[in-house]
Amino acid sequence: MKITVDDEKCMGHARCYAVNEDLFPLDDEGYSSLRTDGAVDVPDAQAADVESAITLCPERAIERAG
Amino acid sequence: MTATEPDAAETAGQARGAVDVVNERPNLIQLDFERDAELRRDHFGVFERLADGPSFVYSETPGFWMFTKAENIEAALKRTDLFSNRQMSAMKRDREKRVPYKFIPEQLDPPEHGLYRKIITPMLSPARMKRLEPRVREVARGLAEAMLSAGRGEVVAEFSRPLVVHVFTELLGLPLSEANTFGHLARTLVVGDPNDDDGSIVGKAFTDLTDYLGGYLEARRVQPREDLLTGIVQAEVNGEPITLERQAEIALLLFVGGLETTVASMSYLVRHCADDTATQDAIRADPTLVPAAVEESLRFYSQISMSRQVRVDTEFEGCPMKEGDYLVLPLAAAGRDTAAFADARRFDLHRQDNRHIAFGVGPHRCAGSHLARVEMYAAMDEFHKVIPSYRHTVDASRDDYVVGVSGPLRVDIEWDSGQGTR
Repeated sequence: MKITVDDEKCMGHARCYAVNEDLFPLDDEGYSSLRTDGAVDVPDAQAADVESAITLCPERAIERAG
Repeated sequence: MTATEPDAAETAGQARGAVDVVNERPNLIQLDFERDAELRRDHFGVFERLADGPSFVYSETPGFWMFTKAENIEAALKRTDLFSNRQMSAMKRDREKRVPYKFIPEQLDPPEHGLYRKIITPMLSPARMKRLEPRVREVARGLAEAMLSAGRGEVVAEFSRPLVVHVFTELLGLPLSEANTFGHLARTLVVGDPNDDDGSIVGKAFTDLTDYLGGYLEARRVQPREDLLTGIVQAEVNGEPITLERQAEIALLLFVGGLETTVASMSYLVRHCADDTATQDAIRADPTLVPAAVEESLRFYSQISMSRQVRVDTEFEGCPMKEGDYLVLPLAAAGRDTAAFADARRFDLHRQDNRHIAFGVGPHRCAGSHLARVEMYAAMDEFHKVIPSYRHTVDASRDDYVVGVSGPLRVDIEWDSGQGTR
């Protein structure tokens, strides 16, 4: 599956990072490293963590992209 | 909610019921943060009732709009184009500028805000804050153990505040021997002082803290160290060094943001657990539940009421506002909004969808949240490992201070001594 992290919306709450550090790495300032990467591939086995991160993000910055 | 005669609004200076609605004008309330007795007693109840009412209200004292639903509060926090942070308090004391404080970057609007925020976010990143965890545990354990044998204690003064002040002091790079001095100054600045009618006590705390920090900033300029003060001194904006005054304004924000808020959050959770034995037993039996308890406590006892000033005449979510009007956004109402959370009025340790906004949203969201979480997760774990099953003392007060931020004044608990779990 693919996900996107919206560069404009991400404010560095790091709730996704708390769910899974490897899946949602942060840059040095504490914002999601994925926010400048466009659509990112995520293994289907990680679907549960992706759903948690989408739900918990206070800015609603994470979305499935198909 | 108490209905009153319209002229009751004119009895300024008297302690009144918190939300007095004049019947024929459902959007009109009286909510005087500085004087309201009911607010001190049960502000979460007040915000629940507000969340159940109209989506916006207007308080005539001292004059501000308030949004009451999670959806509107969130939307407003993101609209920095409509709502400015330059005057970040709707309190009468602050409007009249009796205390000339400035906190940077909190009191800047985008795009300038982002230039200064970039200075502090890397210093407070999740990875850097995680390194503090062993030290937080050590200090927390020591404080809890010192309380144990007495069989009773006051959690705010004996645990939460000394822990947070200690950790913050080391992080900032100030001498521990003076921790109590500036812990007290920061408390006066945030919580205020009941005898401070003209703002002079808070004013003096502000001046003292600014002078104090200025001295240490100058010392770090001459002799850099590995601490946050050095980071502030060496910071640049657009490739230029920043003035000493600005540096002090940044350090000051770390003080007001980093101390009493975390003290209050921890104290709220302990006070809750003194009533909620099931939650208390659960986190003591299974420490992996502590983060969930902290997050639920952050939602249920959200403590900040943000203030903004309207930048242009606007009708936002149906609320007609004029340039210069004040807007208050109570996160406590957002956390208890039944449209945002299933069973919102219940503290649920096992809540699955806890997308709370206790640290705010949008560009000004709390930059210290990662520090706060490391402190709370570790300290609440250690506290419950050391202190056995506890309850409120018979005469325990549940009064809070409520001034845009809130927190328990005291949390008096007792336990059967001599049965520590360590």
